[in-house]
Amino acid sequence: MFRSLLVDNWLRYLFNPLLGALGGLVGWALFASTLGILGDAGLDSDLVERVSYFGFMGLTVAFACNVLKSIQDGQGAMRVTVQGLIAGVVGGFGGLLAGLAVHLLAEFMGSSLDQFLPKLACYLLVGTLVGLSSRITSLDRFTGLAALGGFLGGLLAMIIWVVLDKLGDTTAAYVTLLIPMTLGFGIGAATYSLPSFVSGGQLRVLTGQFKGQTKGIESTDIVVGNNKRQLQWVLPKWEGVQDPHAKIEVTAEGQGYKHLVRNMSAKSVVVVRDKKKNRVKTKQAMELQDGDVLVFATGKNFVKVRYTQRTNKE
Amino acid sequence: MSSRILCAVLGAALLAPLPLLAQEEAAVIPTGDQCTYPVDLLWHREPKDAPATMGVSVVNKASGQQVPGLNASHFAVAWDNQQAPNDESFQVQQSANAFKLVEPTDSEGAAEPQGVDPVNYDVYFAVDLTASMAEELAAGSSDKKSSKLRWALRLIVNFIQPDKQGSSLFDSKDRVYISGFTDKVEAEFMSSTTAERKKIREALAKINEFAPKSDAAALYASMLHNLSNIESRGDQYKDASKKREAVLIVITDSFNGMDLESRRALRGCDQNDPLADEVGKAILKAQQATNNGLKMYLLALGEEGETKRYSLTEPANRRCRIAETQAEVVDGRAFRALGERGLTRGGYRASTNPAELGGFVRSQFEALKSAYEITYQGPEGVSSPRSFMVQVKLGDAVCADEERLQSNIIPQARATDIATSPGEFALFLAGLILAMFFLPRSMTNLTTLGGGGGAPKKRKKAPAKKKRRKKG
Repeated sequence: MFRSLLVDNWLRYLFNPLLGALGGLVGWALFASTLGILGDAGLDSDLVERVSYFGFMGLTVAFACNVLKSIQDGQGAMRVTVQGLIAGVVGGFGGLLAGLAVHLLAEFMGSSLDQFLPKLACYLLVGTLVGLSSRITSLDRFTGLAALGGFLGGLLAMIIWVVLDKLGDTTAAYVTLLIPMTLGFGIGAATYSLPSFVSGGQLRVLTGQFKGQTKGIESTDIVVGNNKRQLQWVLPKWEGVQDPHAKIEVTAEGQGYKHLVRNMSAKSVVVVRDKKKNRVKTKQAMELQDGDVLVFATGKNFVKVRYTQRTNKE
Repeated sequence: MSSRILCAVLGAALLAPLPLLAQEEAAVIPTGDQCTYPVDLLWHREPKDAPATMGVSVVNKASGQQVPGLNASHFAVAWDNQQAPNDESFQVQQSANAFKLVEPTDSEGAAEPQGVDPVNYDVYFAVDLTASMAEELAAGSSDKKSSKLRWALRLIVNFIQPDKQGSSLFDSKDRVYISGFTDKVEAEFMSSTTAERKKIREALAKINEFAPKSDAAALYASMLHNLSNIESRGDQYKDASKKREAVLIVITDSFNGMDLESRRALRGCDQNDPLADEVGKAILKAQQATNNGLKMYLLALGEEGETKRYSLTEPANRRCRIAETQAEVVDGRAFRALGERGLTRGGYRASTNPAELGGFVRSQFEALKSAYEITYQGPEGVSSPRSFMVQVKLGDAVCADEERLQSNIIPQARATDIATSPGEFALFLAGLILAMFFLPRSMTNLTTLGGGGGAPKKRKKAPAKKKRRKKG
C-alpha cells in the first residue's frame, strides 16, 4: 500500500527525508519515555541521558532511512522490517558510541562545551557517526553519502538550535525533538534523493500502477518478477510480469559496468531502441544502451521500463 | 612457611590503605540534610569586569528558617578546590533578592518554596493606652502629626495588612491577639488569638476609640498577662514540627508604673528593678514552656536618654520619680535588660519615628527568609572554573554545598509556561509528516480531476478480416 504512494511526482524525493525525520521524532519519544522511567526509578544520570539520546536517535533514524528502498523494490513487510532493524541496530550502536564520546567530552570540558563551536563540532560528529552507521551494513558509495547527510543534518540541527535559542525560551523548548528530526532529514535526503543522480544505472517504470518509480542498478544483478519472497524487483502480476520474468545482469567492464537484460520466462521481453522492437528470446540476453525501453509483457498486459545508463565503460 | 609470610605481607599490603581511607572519609564535609544548618548554593555570577557574586541559603534544619546574622567569617568560597581570598573584598549580606535570582530549572518538579518563612506565628500585641499616648508625634522628618496611639495602631496594621505587593509581615495563617494597658491590663478588645482579619479590625477599631487615661502604666502586668497566655499554649509552640511560634510585641512610651498585680502605683524608678527581674524570669519561663518558641520585641515610642536622676548604666537614683522621668525619656535601662536578644530572641528599639520601629521588627523577620549574597574576588589562576563550593562554619557545625558545571550538550526544555508541550508538538509534527506522504498521490489525482488529460483516445478499429470463401 505504501509503495503505491510513491507515484510519479517530484515530491516523492521527500519521502525518505520525511521518513528520516519521523524516525528522529520516534527516537526522541523513546528517549523521553526511557528517561522518564529511569528517572522514576532514580537511575537517571548525565551518562544515561546522553547515551540514550544519541543511541535512540541512531536506532530510529537508521531504521527509517533504510526501509524505503526495500518498500520500493516490493519487498515483504517482514523483510523490510528485518533489513531496517539490522541497519537500526548498527545505527543505534553508532549513536551509542557518539553519546559516549560526547559524554567523555562533556566530563572533560564541562560547561565550556556549551559554546557554539565545541557544540557544533559535537553535533557534526554525532551526525556523521549516525549517518555512517546507518548505512554501514550496505558498505557502498551510499555509506559515504549517508555520513555526508548526517554531517549536513548536524549542521542544520545546530543552526535551528541557535535560531530557536535567539527566538526565546518558549521555542527553544522544542529543540530536543527538532535535532533528531533534522539529523534524520539530512541522512534520509542523502541516502535516497541524492544517490539517484550518481547511480550506476537506473530503471524507471513508465506505465501502470508503479509509474514513476525508479530502481537503481548497483553492483548486483536484479531479478524482475512478481514474487516478493524471492528478492525480486517486484512489478505487478496483473500487468503481465511473471515469477521471475527477466534479469538485469551487471558485468564489470573497464572502470564501470555493462548491463544486460536476460529473459527468464517463456513470456515476452522486448527492448525498444530507436523505435525498433528487439525481442529477447527465452534464456537469451541483450546488452542495454542508454534510453532503451524494456517491455515485460504477457498477452495484452505489459509494463514499460526505461533504462538509463550512468556508468563509465571506458 | 614462606607461603604464610607471603600471605601476611599481601594481606598487610591490602589492608594498609584502609585506615588512610577512613581518615579521608572523616575529613569529608557534610552536605545537604546531613548538616544541622544545611547550606544551598543558589546561584553564582562571574562577570569579567566586576567581582564575583554568589547566593547562598543557610537554613536552620529544625525551623526551616534562614539563619540570620552571619558574616564573612562564617563563609568560605572555593573555585576548583582553590579557596577565594577572605579579605576586605569578601563581603556577606542578607539580601531579599538572593532567592529571586535563582533560575527556575525544573518545569514540572515541585520545587521547595524559597524566600518563604515556613513558620506561622501567634502574635500578641500589648499597646500602651496611658494618657501620654494621646500626645502628638511627628513621624521622623515629616510634618505629619498624629497621636502616639494612632502611630502604634498604624504599626500593628502595617504588620498584619498586606502591602501593595500583597505581602505582609504576618499573613492570614498567623493569629493575632491585641491587648492594652493603662493602670491595669485592658484585655476586653479580644477574647483570644484569631486569624480572622475581621475580628482583628474590630479590635483595632475599639482601641482607636479608646480614650487614653491614667499616668501610671501597668506595663509589666500586661507583659505578664501575655506571657501567661503564651505559656498556657506552650504545647502549640513547643513542637518544632508544627512550625508555630509566639511573638510578643509591646508598644509603649512609659515606664512601668504599677506593681505586677496592677494594684499599687509605683513612685520611684528604683521600685521597678525587682519587678523587671520578675518579668525577666517570666520571659525565661515562657521560653522554657515553648521550647524557645517565643520572640519578644519591646518598641519604645520615645527617646532613650538620661536625666539628672536617671542613668542608663547606673542603678536607679532613689530620688528618680517615674512620673517626671517618663515625660522625658523611655526606660532604656530596664528595656535593654528585658529586650536582651539572648533572652527574648527578639529585641528592643527606642525611637520617636514609628517607621524605624516597624522596620526593626520587619528586618528581623525578613532575615529569617532571606538568603545571603556574597561578593568576592575569585582565586588567582582560575579563569574559567568548573566547580564552585561554599562552606559555612557555625560554631562546631560545618556544612558545604558544591555546584559542578555540567555541559548542556543535550538541549533542555527550559520554558516553564509553554502552552504546547513538546509531546503535543511532536504529535503535530508526526501528523504533518504522515500527511505529507499522501501529498504526491493527492496531487496526481488532482491533475486527473474532470477527465484528466482530455477525452479518451478512440481506438482504431482493426480492419475487418475478409472471410474467405471455401472453395467448393
